[in-house]
Parts: sequence; C-alpha cells; structure tokens
Amino acid sequence: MRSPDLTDRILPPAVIAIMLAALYLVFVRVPTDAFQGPVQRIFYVHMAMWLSTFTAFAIVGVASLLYLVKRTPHWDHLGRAAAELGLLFCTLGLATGSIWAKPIWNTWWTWDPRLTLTLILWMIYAAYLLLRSLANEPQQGATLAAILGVSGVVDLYLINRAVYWWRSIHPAVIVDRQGGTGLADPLMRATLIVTMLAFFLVFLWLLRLRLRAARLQDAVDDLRAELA
Amino acid sequence: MNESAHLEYLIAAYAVVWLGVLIYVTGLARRSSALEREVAELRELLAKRPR
Amino acid sequence: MLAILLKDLRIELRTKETLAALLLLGLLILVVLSFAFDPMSPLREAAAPGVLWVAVVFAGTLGMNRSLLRERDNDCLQGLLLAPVDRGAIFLAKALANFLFMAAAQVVLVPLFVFFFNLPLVTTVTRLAPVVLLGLLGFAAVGTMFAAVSLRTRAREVMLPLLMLPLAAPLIIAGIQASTALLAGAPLAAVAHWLNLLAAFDAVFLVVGWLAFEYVVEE
Repeated sequence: MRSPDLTDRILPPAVIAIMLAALYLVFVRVPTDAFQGPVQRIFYVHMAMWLSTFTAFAIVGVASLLYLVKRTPHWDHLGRAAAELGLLFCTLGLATGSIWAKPIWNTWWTWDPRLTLTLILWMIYAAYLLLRSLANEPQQGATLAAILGVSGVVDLYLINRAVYWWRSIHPAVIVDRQGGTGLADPLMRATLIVTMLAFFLVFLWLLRLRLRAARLQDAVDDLRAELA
Repeated sequence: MNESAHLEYLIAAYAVVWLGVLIYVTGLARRSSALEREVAELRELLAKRPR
Repeated sequence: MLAILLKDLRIELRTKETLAALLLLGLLILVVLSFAFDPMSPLREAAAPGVLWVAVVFAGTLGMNRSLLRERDNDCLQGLLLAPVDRGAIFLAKALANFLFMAAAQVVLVPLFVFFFNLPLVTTVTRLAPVVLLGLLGFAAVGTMFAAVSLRTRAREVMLPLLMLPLAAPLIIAGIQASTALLAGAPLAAVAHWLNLLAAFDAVFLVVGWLAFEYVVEE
C-alpha cells in the first residue's frame, strides 16, 4: 500500500480541485447540446458513475478471489468496501440515468441494455452486502460473500451478452442513448474525462476511508477480545 | 418540448449525486470517529488492568 | 461420486412429497400467471414461453431450498463431510441430482403447459427439449451452490432466490428468448447463440461450484 501520509495529504485537495474543474466545465464552459438542450449535461455525471461502479465491481471480484485463496482479512475488507461504494455509485448511476430519461424520452425507465445490465449488477451488489449481514457467523459471511463476488464477476460477461442480445431483437423503441456520444466536440470529450476523473478520485478517496473504518473495527474487536 | 422546463431535472440529477455522496461520507466519518474513540477507551481499560 | 448421486436420488424418491410439492407449485404458478392474460388475446401466446420459464424458475428455486433444508436437518451432509470425499465431487453429484429431479418435474409441467396454452404436444416438447435441458442444468448448478450458501444465513428461504436470480439472469433471458423463437418454428441454428450462452453458463457454474463448494461447507 502507498505511504499513508502522502496520499492522505494529496488526495482530498486533489479531489476538490478536480471536482471544481469538472463543475466549471460542466456548467460554464461546455456548449449546450443542440438536440437535447441543457438537460444533456446530466450525461457527464451519469457516465462518471459508471466508471466507479465497474471499477468497484472488478475490485470486488479480485478481492474475493484473493480472499478465498489467501484468507487475509485485508482482502475481505477491500471486497466489502468496494461493494458498498459500488452499490452507492450504481444507485446514483441508475438514478441519474432515470432522471435524464424522463425529460428526454418521457419515461422513467427504459430497458436499454446498459441500464438493464446495471440493474442486475445492482442486485448482485445488494445481495453481496445482505449475505454478509445475514450470515450466521461473520467469518463465514466473508467466505460466502467472496464466493458470490467471484461468481458475479465471472457471470458478468454472460449477463452482458444475454442482455444485449435480448434488447437487439426488439427494435429499440427508444433510440440508443449512445447516439449522444458521437461526442464530436472536443470540449465535450474533455468535460467528460475530467468529470469521470473527478468522481473516480472521490471513489478512491471513499475507498480508503472505508478501509480505515474496517481496520478500526478490527482493532476494536481485537481489543475487546483481549479484555474479555 | 419547452427547454427551460427541463432544468429541474438537471439540478435534480446533480443534487442526487451530491447528496448521495455526502450522506455516505457523513455516515462514514461519524462511524470512524466513534470507532476511534472506542479504540482509545478500550486501550485505556487494557492499560489499567492489573497484570 | 456415483454413490453420492445414487444416494441423493434415492432420498428424493423416498420422500415423494418434495416432487409433489414442486409439481403442484409449478402448476399453481402456471395458473396464476394465466390470470394475467385474457385467454382470447394473442398476448397470451406471446407470453407463453415466459410463463413457462417463470414457473420453472420459481418452482425450481423452492424445490432446491427444501431439499437442502431437509438434508441439513438430517445431518446427512455432516456424515458425508467426515468421509474423505472430494468436495467438488459432492457438489457435482448434488447438482446432477437436482438436475434430474427438476427434469423429472418438467416431464409433468411441460405437458401441463402445453395443455393450458393449447399448443401441439409433440412439436412443443421436441422443440423445447434442448433449451429446457440446458437451462435446467445451469439452474441446478447455480442453485445447488447457492442453496448451500444460503443455508448458512439467517434468512434462508429469502436468500436463495436473492442470490441466484440476478446471477441466473442470462439463463432466464436465454431460455425465454430461445423458447420463443423455437416455438415459433425457428430451426435450432437460429437460436445457436442462445444455446451457446446456456452451455457456457452451465460450464461456468459447474466449474465454479466444483471449485468453490469446499469453501462453502467448511465450518
């Protein structure tokens, strides 16, 4: 792991700085989309949620596998932290997607393949966290959750294929949203990248905070055990 | 469609994201400080214990 | 492994209640879902494959839950674990037993389905057979593993569908889509991609289950 002091000192100000830059770009600089109007600006934050969601999912998968193999608590903590944050960003992604869809397509939900995939992902995240809290023993809970974590990641490709094939059979009633990223305008592209980076840094920052909380919890448990 | 009528959606979307992150951070921060206090207390108790 | 398989099958056969419950449940779901559709509307026909798979999925989920619960109560698993048997083999045996069990249930459910939806019996069965069998195999694999997982939680009955269904989404989608096409008369080649997906799913979860089962049953 990186040196705690340095990253802790750099990260928060970096997050704030890049976030401010992103906000500036999104609300001040980037041109308004000709077709969708100002609402299109949701696109930037919406896509930013995806990057964190899928990174988190990847982390859950890797951490789960490593936990099953190595059994060090660190991997378990990482898996759980990533799952919590993944669920958070996934929820926000779905929410922003829905809020965007309503004015543009006059519907709260579309069975757009990406949205459907994300919804299934959301349920896997939720199941992961629920499995942990409902397990009979915490130690076992970690193992069980890890199995789910690995299964989820392994299944992801299959879910992806199935959902995309399903949605391509029925002619899209709603034009695929990706018609919106023929992002020709370089400023739009830049805004997207900066916004995604900003929220990705937020994700990393929160991940560290969450890991620290997990380690504190471990310390508490150990101390209690000693006192008993 | 009336363009200006959509601004509320734009605001809603960003508000939701910020609120979501904020709520999570606050909850996490609160839990972390509670845990830190507990660690300190427990360490004190352990130190006071007759060996 | 064969011995375990036979043992499981024998247990299931002896307690016919599970099979009966499964069948009745499947029938019930078929009927209730039929309430959703006006018998005269073409929507009903279009929805038929979906209805069948929903019935299969939910009846299967509950059936698997029951069978593993019963085994827990009987402490069969404990005895089995004491023996120096490869955990992976235990998983495969159980999965296979569950598969055969569900396939047996389908032998009754599919004709019922045909009956209620007024479809030609032999054509339907022959067309659907490959899809249903592939689907049931994958289902048995995921189900067996996560039934064992959910046994170790506080909310067993709820946990299994919660864990299984999101993961089984590709299975359900592929099953329904392929069934729809096949029932409409498409040749097997036309649904090859769905069948491949089902086969891939089966392979993935049989392997994952085989590898991971020991982690699940450790104490």
